[in-house]
Amino acid sequence: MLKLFKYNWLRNSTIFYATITVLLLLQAALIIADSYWENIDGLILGLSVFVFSIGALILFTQICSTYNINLKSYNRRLLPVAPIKEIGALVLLQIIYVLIMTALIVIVNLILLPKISFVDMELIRNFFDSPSLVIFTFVSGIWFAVSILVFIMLAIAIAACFKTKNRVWIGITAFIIIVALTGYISELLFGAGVSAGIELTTGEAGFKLLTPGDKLMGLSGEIAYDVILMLLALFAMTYLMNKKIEL
Amino acid sequence: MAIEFDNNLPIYIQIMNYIKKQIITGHLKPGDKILSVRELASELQINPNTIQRTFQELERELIVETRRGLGRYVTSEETKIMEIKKDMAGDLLDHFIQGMQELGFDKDDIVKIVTHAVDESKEE
Amino acid sequence: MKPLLEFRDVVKKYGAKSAVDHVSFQIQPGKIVGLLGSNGSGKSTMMKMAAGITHPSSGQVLIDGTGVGIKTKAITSFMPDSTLTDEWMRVKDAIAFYQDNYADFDSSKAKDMLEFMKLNNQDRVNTLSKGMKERLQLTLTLSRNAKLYMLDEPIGGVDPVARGKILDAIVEYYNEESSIIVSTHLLQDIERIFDEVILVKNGKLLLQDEVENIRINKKKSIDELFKEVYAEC
Repeated sequence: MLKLFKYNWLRNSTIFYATITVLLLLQAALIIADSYWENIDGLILGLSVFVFSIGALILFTQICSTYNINLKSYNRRLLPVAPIKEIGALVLLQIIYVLIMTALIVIVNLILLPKISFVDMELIRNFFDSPSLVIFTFVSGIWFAVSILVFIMLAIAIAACFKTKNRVWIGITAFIIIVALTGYISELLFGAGVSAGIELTTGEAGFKLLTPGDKLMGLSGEIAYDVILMLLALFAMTYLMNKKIEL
Repeated sequence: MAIEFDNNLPIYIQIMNYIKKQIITGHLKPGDKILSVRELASELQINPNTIQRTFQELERELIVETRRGLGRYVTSEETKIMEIKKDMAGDLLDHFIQGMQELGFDKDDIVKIVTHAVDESKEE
Repeated sequence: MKPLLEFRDVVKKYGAKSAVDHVSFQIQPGKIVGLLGSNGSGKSTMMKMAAGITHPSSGQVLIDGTGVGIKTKAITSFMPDSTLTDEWMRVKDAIAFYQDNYADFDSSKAKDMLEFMKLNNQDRVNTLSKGMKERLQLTLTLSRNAKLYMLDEPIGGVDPVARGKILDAIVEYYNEESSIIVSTHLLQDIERIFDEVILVKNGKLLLQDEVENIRINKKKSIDELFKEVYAEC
């Protein structure tokens, strides 16, 4: 799987370095701008978030595109590897990209946030003081990034089974259906609303980790549901890659 | 070694004939080592199995012998080589006589014409 | 002797059309086989099924006794009619890709072949001419020590020099434990390197025979036989 990862990385390395470079240059420009003009703090912060979002989106799109290309390229399909390794190599790339982006976000914000007048640094310090909060946020962030990638890859795999020209639309439809269905079932099982997450409570000026009290099976139920969904998606992709996707 | 092959006829026979000619004309001397299957296949761009078959046939006709561990060699038997010469000439002769007879020449005419032609070619 | 490649009543349908129509045959190790047919006769589809990138609608394809799958992909080296490289690659990346992912890749063979084919490690794949690209594909495919090699139209649209080099390479890398299947519809130069030929037409197998037998029995070259069979195509 690591060999596949190597080539996934190499395929995207130019765009990756370009994106990161431009992103950092823009963030540096924003930080410098903030030193000169004190009264557009909100705009600066907004732009910083925006730039990071676009960067993340570009990298994410590259990974999805890589999967699509790999499904149709002879040198990949001829390899004596199980499909799960192809999937794993891309998930690994996603995780690496997420880690790198997170590190960059933290570094930039260490410099930028203290300059923003309306940001309460104490609140932020409280957040980082609580290890369980940090770990929870971090893990759920990674889980979210991986899940969304896996579901999009599943939609791409479904679309790849068809040879018609409109298969992009089949993929998009498949994705919408998957998200809607899983959301609906989740609501049926666990009720509407966020059952686990972080809430900013104004009362004590801090963050609180929420867990559901009376919902079905509590937090572990939701986690089990997510895990089962992921396994089902991986199983479906493996099946499609083995039996249904042809060159 | 550029041989013109006729794809309509079995290739292995054509290679056999080529090697026989090489032997008769002295390009391959008695006791000379011949190229291995691989070398010959590579040079002529021919399937190695075809070359193998050629060699097997040549061995069967005792024109070529395998010395274990050393390779394949042209026979050193002078009588064998004479035989090949006669055989190949024989084919030529048959074709020639048949052709001449079809043209209407009788036996004496054929002998006269051949003698005349051989004398002419000696002067060249 | 266990056949190296076996098709057992294989059918491949695309909608109502049969690209491969109940085809059965066996190929023993140590053979160079020509898979002959006009365009659309089913020969590419057959190779793709043996390579594991297309699947039969019914029937079985076996390589060295095993059904086509990950194990057989490890001993099968296929050169399709499309590219085997990513556009961002240089020649050295393409070689590294094969080296990293195939246990049977022989890097000294690859080095020799690159020299023989006059290819440079630093060349960008997308700047290579068509002929040079074919040479690279062939280098990648033949540098593996596979049991079954399959080349889909390796000499079509290629200059005579490259063609000669390709035929040279095929004969050079032949060995008794492997077999090479070459699909083509251009026979004149290449028919001399075949042991056997398999003729397919409209997805059906017409003939499988040793090439010298055809010359002896039918008194014609494979090229002529081909022209006769496919005259109406």
